[in-house]
Amino acid sequence: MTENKTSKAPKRDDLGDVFTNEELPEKIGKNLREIYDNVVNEPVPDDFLNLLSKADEKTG
Amino acid sequence: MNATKDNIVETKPVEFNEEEFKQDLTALIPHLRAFARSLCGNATLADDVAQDALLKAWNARERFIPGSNLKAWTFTILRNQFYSIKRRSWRATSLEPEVAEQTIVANSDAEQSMHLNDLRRGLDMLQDDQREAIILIGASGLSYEEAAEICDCAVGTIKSRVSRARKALEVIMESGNFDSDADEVRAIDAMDTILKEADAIAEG
Repeated sequence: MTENKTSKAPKRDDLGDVFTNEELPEKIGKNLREIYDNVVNEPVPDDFLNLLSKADEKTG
Repeated sequence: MNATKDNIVETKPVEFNEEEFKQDLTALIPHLRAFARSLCGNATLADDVAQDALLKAWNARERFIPGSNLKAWTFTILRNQFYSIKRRSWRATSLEPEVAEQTIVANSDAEQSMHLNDLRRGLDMLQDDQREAIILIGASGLSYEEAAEICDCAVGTIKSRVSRARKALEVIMESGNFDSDADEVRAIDAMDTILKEADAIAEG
């Protein structure tokens, strides 16, 4: 019956793991690029492509 | 030989080719979406902004100078569109952390996305000018010169904003003050204090 056995959502003292072997600035830089690249790598929704073809019809 | 070269430059200015412009614009859509999403976090809102920007870019195509930087040009349009919408209706629509989390969780494994969400929240806490600077330089792969053009400021200003944004994010991430159950208002108050400290550090 230890108190910390059923620890709930840990506070962020798990940050040690998060930044293992990586300096914080590098980690931030990497994650920043990941947030951006994740979206770049998503397939482009049809809405976007339709927008241009529709605009084309209107002007053409 | 030299004369010929000069001739080519003078007599063959890059002509506007609508089909080519459309292809180039289409190729930039993923970057427009990523820039918008980095700026505002909410995927639905970000796509709305990106679509508006795309349409505006298309409608303004005759004002684009062929051969100049289309990415910087479209990013400028998107940025203007973003701030114009933000000024009008930000409070009503944007601060929905759950939406932001869902969109990010969908993209990578839970463990990693948790940290990305931390950074996401950190970005939200930055001043607008610092957030856009660090996204443009740190994520989108644009140069300081391009970022300065997009934000309509000096290169040195961009450099100092990026540097302040980095320091502020480091302070925010280091504090690890992201308990998702925590009272939002209290967390924001705490962040305010932290950011002021970060600013003081950056200025000093």
